[in-house]
Amino acid sequence: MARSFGDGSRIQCERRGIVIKRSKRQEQAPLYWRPDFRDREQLPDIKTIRTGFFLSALAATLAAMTLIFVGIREYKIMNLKGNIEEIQKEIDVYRVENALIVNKNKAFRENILKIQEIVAFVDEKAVSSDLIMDVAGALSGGMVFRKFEYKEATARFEGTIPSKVDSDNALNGFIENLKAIESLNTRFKKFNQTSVVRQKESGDVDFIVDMNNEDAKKKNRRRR
Amino acid sequence: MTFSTLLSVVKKHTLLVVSGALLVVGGGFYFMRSGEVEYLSISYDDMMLERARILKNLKFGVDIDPDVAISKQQLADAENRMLDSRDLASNYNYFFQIEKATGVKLEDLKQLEYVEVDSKGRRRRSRTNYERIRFQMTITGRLPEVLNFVRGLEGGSAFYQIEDLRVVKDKSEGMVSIGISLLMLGMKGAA
Repeated sequence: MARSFGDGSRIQCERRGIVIKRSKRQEQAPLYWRPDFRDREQLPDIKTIRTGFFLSALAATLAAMTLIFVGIREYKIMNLKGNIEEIQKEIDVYRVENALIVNKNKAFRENILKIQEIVAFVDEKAVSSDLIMDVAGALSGGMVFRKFEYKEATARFEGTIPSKVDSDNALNGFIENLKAIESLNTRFKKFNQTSVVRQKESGDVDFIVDMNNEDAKKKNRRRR
Repeated sequence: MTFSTLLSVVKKHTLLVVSGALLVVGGGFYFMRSGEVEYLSISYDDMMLERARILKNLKFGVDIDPDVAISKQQLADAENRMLDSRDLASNYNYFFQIEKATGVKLEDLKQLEYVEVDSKGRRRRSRTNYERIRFQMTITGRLPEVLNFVRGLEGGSAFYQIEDLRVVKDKSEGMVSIGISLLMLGMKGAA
């Protein structure tokens, strides 16, 4: 059995005893009683772990880490692909039935939209026989109807108050009655006495009451 | 550097070389597939949403057949009551029937085109499903008769809307005259 040392010496163990062999360089070098620390080459190698080992270990660790990351990611990808495939199969099973229901729902919505349009059109009408009756009923005793005009944005009532009736009270009462009519007060916010004229001969009072709503006027401008 | 030198270096530092090669290949593969998980996750989420939507449709679509049938029937009934703007004779006859039933005198009956305009007064394409047909007329009669005529419109089969109304006391005693502008609903395809 033989063992080498950093300084080139070699100890050979044999059955009979220990033989120390010295290298040529050692044999040529002068002998000192202690090591010459200035001669670095002559000093024994005290590196127990070399840089090469560190590099190799680092590279191996990084490679292992990379492989682990790649493995985890690939597993995740595989898992996701499996799940997607499973859901796709489920979707494919219901696809035809779903398309049928979607088409029926589309037809239903189209029908409902059309019905809603018809209902909205019918609901928009404000003038009816009841309105004419209500306006006629708003006239207090003795007042005479001459004309009633209704448009979407405005309405006008023209009438006459006989001379024997208190025109001021009669007209105010008539306007209050108009304001109480639902189909008018929901459409018009302003009820104004536009004209009050006394006839010279008979003393009767001709009056005009205008009803309007600014918002409705703007809306009406868009229709012709 | 010859091949043999390279081979000797590889032999000397086998672990380092193999690890380095694995690092390069593995790293490259890792970065190459970096978008895959995100893409698959988004696809998975989308498919889950689609699945949820389909299951919801199947759940709530069970009773849709009777609803579709009812809505279809109601719509057909409503559309049967609509006028055809091209059929002037039938349209005028609709009003003449009410005139005959109520005893009023119907004058100046006209069917006019209804035009939708925008805020600048330009003609606008209609977005409605049904056509609006405009009618103008003057009715003369006693107040109860005239009221009956208006009630005849209200109870009539066609859908109407009074745009303008003008009630004027007639010169004849007890008579009133009404000028009406009406909008009636008509089928669009018939225009």
